[in-house]
Amino acid sequence: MLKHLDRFEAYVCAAIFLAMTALGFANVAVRYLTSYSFAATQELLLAGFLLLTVFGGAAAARHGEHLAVTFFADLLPARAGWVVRALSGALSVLLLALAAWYCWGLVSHQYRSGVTSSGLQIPAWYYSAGLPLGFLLIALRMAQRTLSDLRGDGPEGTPHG
Amino acid sequence: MGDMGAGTQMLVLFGVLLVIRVPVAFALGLSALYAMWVMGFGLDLVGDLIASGIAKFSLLAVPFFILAGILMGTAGMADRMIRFFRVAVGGLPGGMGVVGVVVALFWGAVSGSGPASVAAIGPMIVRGMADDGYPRPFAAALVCTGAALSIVIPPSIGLVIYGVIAEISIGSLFIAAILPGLLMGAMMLLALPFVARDRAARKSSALHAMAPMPYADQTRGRQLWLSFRDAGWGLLTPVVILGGIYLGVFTPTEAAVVAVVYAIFVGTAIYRTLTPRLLFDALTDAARSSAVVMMVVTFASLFGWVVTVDDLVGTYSEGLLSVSDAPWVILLVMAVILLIAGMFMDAITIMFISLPIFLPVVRELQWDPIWFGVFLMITLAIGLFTPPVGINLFVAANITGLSLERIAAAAVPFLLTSALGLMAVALWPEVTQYLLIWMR
Amino acid sequence: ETLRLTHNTSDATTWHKGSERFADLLEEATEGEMEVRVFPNAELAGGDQMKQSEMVGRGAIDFVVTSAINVTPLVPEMAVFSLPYLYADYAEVDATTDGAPGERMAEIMADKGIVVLAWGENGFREVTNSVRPITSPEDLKGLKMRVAGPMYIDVMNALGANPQQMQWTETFSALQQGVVDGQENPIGAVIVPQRVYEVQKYITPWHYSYDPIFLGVSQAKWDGWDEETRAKVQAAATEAMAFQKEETRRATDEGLARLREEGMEVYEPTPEEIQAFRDATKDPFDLWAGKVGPEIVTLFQDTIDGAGN
Ligand code: NA
Ligand code: NA
Repeated sequence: MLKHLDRFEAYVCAAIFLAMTALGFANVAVRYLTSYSFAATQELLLAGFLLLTVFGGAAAARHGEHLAVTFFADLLPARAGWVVRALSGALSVLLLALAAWYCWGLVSHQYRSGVTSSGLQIPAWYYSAGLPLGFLLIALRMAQRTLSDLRGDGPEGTPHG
Repeated sequence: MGDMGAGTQMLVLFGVLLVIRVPVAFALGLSALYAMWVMGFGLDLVGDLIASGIAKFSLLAVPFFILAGILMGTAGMADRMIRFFRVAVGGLPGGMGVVGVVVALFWGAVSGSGPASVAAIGPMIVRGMADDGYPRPFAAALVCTGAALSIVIPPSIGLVIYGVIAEISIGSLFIAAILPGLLMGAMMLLALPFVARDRAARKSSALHAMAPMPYADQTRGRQLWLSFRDAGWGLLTPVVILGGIYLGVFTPTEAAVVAVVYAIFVGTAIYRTLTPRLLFDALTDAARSSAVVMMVVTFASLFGWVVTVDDLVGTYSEGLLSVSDAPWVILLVMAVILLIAGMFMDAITIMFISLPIFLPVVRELQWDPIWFGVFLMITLAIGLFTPPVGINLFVAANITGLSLERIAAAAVPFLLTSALGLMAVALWPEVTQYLLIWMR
Repeated sequence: ETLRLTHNTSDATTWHKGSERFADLLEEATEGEMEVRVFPNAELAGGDQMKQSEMVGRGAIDFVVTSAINVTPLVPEMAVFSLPYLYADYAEVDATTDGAPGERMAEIMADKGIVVLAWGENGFREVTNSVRPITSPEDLKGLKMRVAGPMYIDVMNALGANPQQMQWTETFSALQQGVVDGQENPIGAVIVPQRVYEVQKYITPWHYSYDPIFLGVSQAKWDGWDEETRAKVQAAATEAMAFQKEETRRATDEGLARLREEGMEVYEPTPEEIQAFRDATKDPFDLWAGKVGPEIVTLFQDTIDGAGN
């Protein structure tokens, strides 16, 4: 199940990134070659940027790529080191869950107030709906990564520090 | 922590969380949320702050320049470009280190963002310097420092934002920053032979060390020509990007998108090295690298918000500014504040927090605001590679697999050359004016 | 108590001066009991100018100073002020903000949790470009124009120009390098202080769209104050925004002379030429009047027609 999710994140990131590149380039090319341009390009690129960041953030969490200062933790004896890793993992998951919760608050505020985007004038929550889901996914990946580290499965991605 | 202000408590908690190995991005977020809770203000803004922190248009160039860098690496463009500079300047004392600095300066004229430059040129410079006998952390540190000059040498997103906040000409700022940027690079080059002496086999097996080195049996002139011809498409990149910007085809942010398309074009149509599989890998790798940086930026925006609302920089800097009547002391104090802030925050946040306090002083003392903008940009560039929050360090650690602290420790010599460069610009403000006067 | 005020321009603008004046007046009136801290550049909203009003609406921030255009995503009716060629001059503007239309808009804002205390001014938006003087709609054909919001996209399209939405931070260099040919903004609030004249040759003060600002307070805060406190807040707001409006008009008057000094070519269109622009923008006017609601538009037009013409 999670294996498929791994691929899912990669496919989503690649698709969004390609679409952003195509849109950004098409806007430049069309504006330069013809006298037209697509006025809402900026808004769509930012929406893509937001999704790219949360889905990429989840993939990076799974790979253990979110950077930490490991210098001090590495000085600790093995048992204390295990406790510190568990604690830092739990705190990270806590923050990500809080971020998901507050972003959920944002989405529901936007839904209730009916606020629209400044370019295409579609409901603003269409864009932000990815945020709570994205942070939950990052939290899930962070938890998964921490648990596999603590079980001593050995890191799957590039270790840092 | 009872009698400390919420902002000060946040700084302490942030330090503690870093020590216990909480990733920097999440440590920023946790300590900021804690401070908001203590202040009793801001928790209901967190969703908005996260959303606007991620979707910063000025940073949209970051994922694209990271992707362009990876693609140019995959397609062999940066490789050939670096090989050309290797032939051209690799024989100088410092060897591949000199090549690294020159390529970083060259790339600075393409990129407006420090971390993006690290991603673009970092992998190959580090590999080349390692082949040349340099320790990898030192090579990564050189890349971090050289790439930091991307926000000094135009185009620079930082200078654009400074121009907007300070309400002065961005065009003039760009021109004023060229010589100081080159000066900073020159300081690195001058330092290299001394630093390299005990760090690398200064005159290594030289050009052959970095395999594959074609045309090794040719004369030097022919080597130069052949490697230049070979690297043509890569060397053309800044011409395409800068030319496009200066001819008004696209904006600096759009230039990053064009760089990606250019890399895909050269990789598929010219060199035929870029397969769909490699493209897919480049897209996902770049998405992860960019997300790691953007997570820091996102949660740093919560942190910066607390710093603003709790008037942290204001409280500390106003106290320091009253220390002396001598302008040079005030400038020194400003530099120290900016350098310390640069350890913890991103350049854009720092500008928004500090400029409202500094600019009235600049006006009061009748300093040239263009010169001050360049001075500011150099201090912010230094912040890009000073721990614990140094985005260039993060990217470099990310692409090399080395630890942040090892790279940061290796960057100390360059921290010194940068400090000297900063002093030179402070004592010799005319360096920002020569080109402007010459162009009039 | 310390209250927080957010606005989305730099600390050198008349918005900021008006906000600071409000803070001073209120502090004075309450003998230091109510202190207002002013946060420029939308700092409290993470730099996002569109989010400020939403935050004030739900009580997360106390006061906001922002322009009508910035709240249209939240309150579409606020687009009424900037309908193309709704107003011809300041007298008409003042008749609406000081009269029934201003009150009507305040009622609508109250539904979103914001009490509008007083109206100030961002100004009439004027067009600049680097290609040719704009004397008629034909002159706009094919020009790449940077615009700030969705209504202006429709207006520019109707005039034959090619609108592009772009952040202000990108706009300056985009104008300089010719990525876009022109932009439209108020003279006193943007074109002079942001030095647009450095990168633009021609300006036509065509008064095609007006943008008011307002000083608002969160409904939750307002409801929590007694009558006496409300009166003090209201008095300080009224005086501060009157001062802000005066400052903006002075800066605009001096601005045109300054732009000439800086080498810009100013073309002041005749009433007939203005009518040509008005005719050319009739379709977007009708489209956006429909979105705003005919009842509100009629109220504005009736007030304007009664404003001594
Ligand atoms: Na640059
Ligand atoms: Na730093």
